[in-house]
Amino acid sequence: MDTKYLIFSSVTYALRAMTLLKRRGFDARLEKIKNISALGGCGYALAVKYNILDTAVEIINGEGLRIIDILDNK
Amino acid sequence: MSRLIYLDNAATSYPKPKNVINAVNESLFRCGNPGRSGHELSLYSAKAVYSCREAICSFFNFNHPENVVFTYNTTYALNMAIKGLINDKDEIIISNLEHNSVLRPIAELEKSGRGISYKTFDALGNDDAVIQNFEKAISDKTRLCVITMCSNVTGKILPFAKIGEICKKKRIKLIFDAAQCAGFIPIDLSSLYFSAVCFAGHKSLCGIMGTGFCVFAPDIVPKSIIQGGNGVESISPLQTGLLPERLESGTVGVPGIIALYEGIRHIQSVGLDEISEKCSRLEARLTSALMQIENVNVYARAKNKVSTVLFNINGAASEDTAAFLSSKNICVRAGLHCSPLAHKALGTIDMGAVRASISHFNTGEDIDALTQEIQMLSKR
Repeated sequence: MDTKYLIFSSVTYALRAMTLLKRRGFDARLEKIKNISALGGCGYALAVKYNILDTAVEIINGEGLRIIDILDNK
Repeated sequence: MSRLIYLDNAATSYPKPKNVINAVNESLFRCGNPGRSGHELSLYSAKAVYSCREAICSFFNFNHPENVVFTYNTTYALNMAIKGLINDKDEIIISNLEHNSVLRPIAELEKSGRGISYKTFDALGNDDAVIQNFEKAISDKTRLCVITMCSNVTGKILPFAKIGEICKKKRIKLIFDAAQCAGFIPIDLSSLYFSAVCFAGHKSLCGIMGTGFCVFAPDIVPKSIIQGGNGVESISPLQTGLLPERLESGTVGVPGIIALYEGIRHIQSVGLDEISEKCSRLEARLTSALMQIENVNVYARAKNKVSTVLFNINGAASEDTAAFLSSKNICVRAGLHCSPLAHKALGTIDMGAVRASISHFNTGEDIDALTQEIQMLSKR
């Protein structure tokens, strides 16, 4: 449970968020989610460590990007 | 056979930089379908495509990579922007230097029975005259302007920033065709008013054919003209999602997008100023040499232009001149260049003209070889 999965509307937004986090020195990983009902299918998630979740969300929201959901499991 | 001299860069640039060729080759080994799957090849592709969106933003000073939509060429991008932004009963203004990629979709819309109409204005004169003609053409019904930043026939650069200011003031949507000048002159999207700017990836941006893109302004919500799978909300039968996927149905051309990324890197490594300076110098050399040949007519010389030279040998069909040059291993393009409005305005609609378009890979020797052949042919 030390990883959280940030859900975005498309892979482009997930990659934009990942780039923002990496530029600030935070690690984030692009992964396909198995829980397709979370998005209606074909979704990607950004996997981040739980201990940086709040900061990550703040950075991403600060750039005007919308996180659709945050999941415990992909 | 003499060495190949390529002067048809306005059609597509040649040769391609080595890093572009190598990257395309590598992409065929490493890329899966982006934005679809979770395996390594698909994720690699998705990251490569996104990196290109960022490279485009960095190169054109824009802060919204999600508003960069990949297409197969500028024509596709222009169709997407025009049909995605037009409404019933709109009046459209275009210049008389527009390519058929603008004229034909708009002429088709005019015939669609939706009350859409279009007007043209003369953009052949100096910047003040162009602006005056543009302002005169605008009416209360004008909702959209589609303007080339640079003519593919004459190479003339239009006063596009000023046109943007006028459209902003009058709250008119504005689409630019940047096919001929991106990668040759600086384009700062952060300071320019636009609704959409349409680009070719394979011309002066040094990518490969089958690659284009459209950048939409952040407040613009275009309708999609092609629907299908885009990796977003697959459960819905209707096209949903935000840009860019909303307009990128079907698999995008990943090798071409990677080539475009590398093409931009190439331009950045050479330097836009150096490219522009070298091409302008060669263009001036060619123009000056052709003007000294009796029986040769050089058209539409302008101060502010990209390195395209349009000419004819008096009394010779442009296609005959191009065929002769081709037999000497010199590549140019003759005819109407898919821009009948411009050739009507120039008085060359019946015979077309010969277009030599220069890139930073050309040399003074290339220019001199073309001049010598034209000199010989003009004496026949």
